[in-house]
Amino acid sequence: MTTTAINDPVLEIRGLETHFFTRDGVVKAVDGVNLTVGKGEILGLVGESGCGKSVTSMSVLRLIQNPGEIVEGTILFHGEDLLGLSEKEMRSIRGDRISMIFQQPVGSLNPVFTAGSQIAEVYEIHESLKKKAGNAKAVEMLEKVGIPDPERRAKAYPHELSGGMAQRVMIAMALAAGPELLIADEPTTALDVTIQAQIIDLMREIRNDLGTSIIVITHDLGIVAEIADRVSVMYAGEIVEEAVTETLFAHPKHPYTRGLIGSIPLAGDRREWLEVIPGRVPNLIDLPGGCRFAPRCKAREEAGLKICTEQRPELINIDDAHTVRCFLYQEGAK
Amino acid sequence: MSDDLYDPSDEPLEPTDDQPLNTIEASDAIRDKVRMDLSGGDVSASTSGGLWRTAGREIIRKKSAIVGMSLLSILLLLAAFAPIIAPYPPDEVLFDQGVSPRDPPCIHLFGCAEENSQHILGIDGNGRDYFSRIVYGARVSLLAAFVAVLFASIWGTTVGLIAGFFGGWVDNFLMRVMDVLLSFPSLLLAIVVVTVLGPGLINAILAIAIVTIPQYARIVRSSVLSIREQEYVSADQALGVSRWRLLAHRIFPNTLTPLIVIATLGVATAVLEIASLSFLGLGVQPPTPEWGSMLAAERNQVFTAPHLVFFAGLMIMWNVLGFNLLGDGLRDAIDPRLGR
Repeated sequence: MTTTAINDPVLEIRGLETHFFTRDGVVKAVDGVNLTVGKGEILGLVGESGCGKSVTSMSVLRLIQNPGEIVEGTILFHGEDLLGLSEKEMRSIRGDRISMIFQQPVGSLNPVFTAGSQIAEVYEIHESLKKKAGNAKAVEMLEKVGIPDPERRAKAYPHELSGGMAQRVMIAMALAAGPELLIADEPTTALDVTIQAQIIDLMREIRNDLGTSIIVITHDLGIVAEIADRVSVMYAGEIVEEAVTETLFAHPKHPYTRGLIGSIPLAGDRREWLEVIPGRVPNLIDLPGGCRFAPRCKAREEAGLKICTEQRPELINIDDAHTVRCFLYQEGAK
Repeated sequence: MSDDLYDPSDEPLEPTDDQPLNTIEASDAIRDKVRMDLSGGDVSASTSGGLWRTAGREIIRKKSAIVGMSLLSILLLLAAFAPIIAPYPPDEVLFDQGVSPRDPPCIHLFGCAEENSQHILGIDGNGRDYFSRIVYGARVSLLAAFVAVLFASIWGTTVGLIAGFFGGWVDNFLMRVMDVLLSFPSLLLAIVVVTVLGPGLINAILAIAIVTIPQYARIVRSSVLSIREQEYVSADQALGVSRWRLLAHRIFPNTLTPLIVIATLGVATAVLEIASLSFLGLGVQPPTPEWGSMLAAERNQVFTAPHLVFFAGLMIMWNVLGFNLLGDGLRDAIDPRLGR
C-alpha cells in the first residue's frame, strides 16, 4: 500500500482486480492494483505489453467488455466509488470528467465525420450545446491544442490528417468537456519522434494550464522520464515499484525496473550488448506461485533468495515516496 | 528530447538546479521552435472535400458508370415527362381512329403514308398506342423498384444493425430468420407472398421487398461487426456516448457505403422481379402499362408482331443494365477510398 502522502487525490484505485474469464481459464490481467493520482499530477504507468496497463485504465472508465469483469476493488474518483455507479451515471462521467486518448490517433477518429464535428459532439452530449455553438467551441479547442488554421482543419476528415494532427484532434476531443482526469493510453507510440516531443509538451502544457491530472500509459521509459511526476511500474497485473520519477530513474530498486532502464538503447552510445531481461511475461492464467518476476530475476539468483518462489512479496516502503514489491528489500527475508 | 532522456550509463542522476529532468522553460522554447519548424510537415494537404465529393470525382472517371447514368437519366426523363412525351394516353383505345390490332409501326419520316396516324412503335393487341404504353411503363417500373428497395433496405438495415450491435441471442434469432428467408429462391418466395396477399402492384412490391431484406441485413450486420471493433468506437464510448447514439450516429453512417452499392444493384434485381411477377400475372394488373405484363400479353405474337415483344423486353434490359452499370461504377468509386 502506498503511503506516499498525496494531497487532494483525484483518483484512488484500491485493490483492483480485473479478470477475463476465457475458455482456457481465468486471465488475471489486473490483480490487486493500487494507484493514486493527485490533482494536477502526471502519473506514468509503465510496463511491457500485456502487463495490464491498458486494462487498468479501461477499468477506471468501466469499459471492460465480456469476458472481462472487475471482480474486486474500489475506484474512488473524488472519493466516490465509480464501481457503484449506474451505467447512466458512468456515461455522464466518461468524456466529461474522465476522458481518454488512444494509441492509434487516426483509427480513433470516426472516418465519416469531420474532425470539428466529432469534437462538437462532445459538447452536444455533455453540455447540451447546439451544433453551431459546439462547432465554434470545437474550433477554439483545436486552436488550444496547437493546430494551425483550426477553422480549415475542423472541416477536414480524419484521413486527411497526419498522425500528429489526428492525435491533437483526439486530445482536443478528450479535453473538450474540461475533464479532471485524462488517461493517455500510449499517446505517442504511433507517432514520429519529433511529433512525440510535441505531443508530450502539449500534455505538459495542459497540466500546467488547466490543472488536469494525467495518467500516461506507456512502455517507453523515455516518455515517462520526460513527462511524469511519479511512476508506477507494472508487471504481470500488479504494481512492482512506485516512486517519484527522478528517484525511480536514479535509484531503481526492483530488478524488473532496473532491467527496463538498462535495456534502453541510447543514440550515440555504442555497446556490444544491450541489456535484456531474459524470458517473457508469465502466462496470466497460470501465474508463478511466489514473486511473479522470480523466473526472470537475476538478482534473486545472485542474492540466493529462496523465498521468492514460495511467497508473494508485499509492497515495501523504501522511503516516503518510494515503494517496491521485492524481497531483496525486506528485512529478514534473507 | 534526447537531452532529457535518462542515460543508464551515467552515475545515478540527481535532479539539480542547473540540470533538472523536466525542464519546462527550456522545452517551452524548444517547443515553439519545433512547432514552427514542423507544423508545415505535420499538415497533410487537405484540399479535397468530403467523402462524397471524392466518390463523385472517382465515378466520373468510370466509363461504365457514365453509360449507366446516361441510360438511367433517359429513363428518368421518360418517366417524369411521360404525359408530354407520349402522344396518346396509355389506356386509350384507338380503333375509332382507323387502326387495327397489332398494326406495325408507322413513322411518317420513314415513308409511312401521311394519311395514316403516326404510331412509332405500332399498335398493341387492344388497339392502344404502344409507344405511349412503353413510356408510361417506365413510371411503374422505376417507382415499384425504388419503393421495393427502399422498404427492403430500411428493414434490412434495422435488422442488421440490431443483430450486429447487440449480438448474442438477438443476433442468432434475427439472422436465423433471415437465413430461412434466404433459403428460398427469391422469385419463388415472392410468388408465394403474392399468392397469399393477392396479386397487385403494392403486393408485388411488398413481396419483392420481403424477399430481399436478408441481403441488406447480412451486409449491414457484417459491417457492424467489423466497425464495432474499431478503435473509434471505443474512443466514443470513452467519451460517454450512449449505446443508441453510438449505433445511430457512429456505426450506421459507416455502413452506408456498402449499403448504397448493393441498393443500387438491388434496384436492377427489383426491376427484373417486378417484371417477372407481372409477366406471370401476379404483379401489376392490366390495363396499367407495365413492361412485364405487356410482354406477357403479346408473347404469342412473337412471330406475327415481334415489335410488341421486342420493345418491352428491350426496356426491361435497358433499366437493368443501367442500374447494374451504375452500381458497379459506384462500388469501384467508393471501395478504393475505403482501402486507402
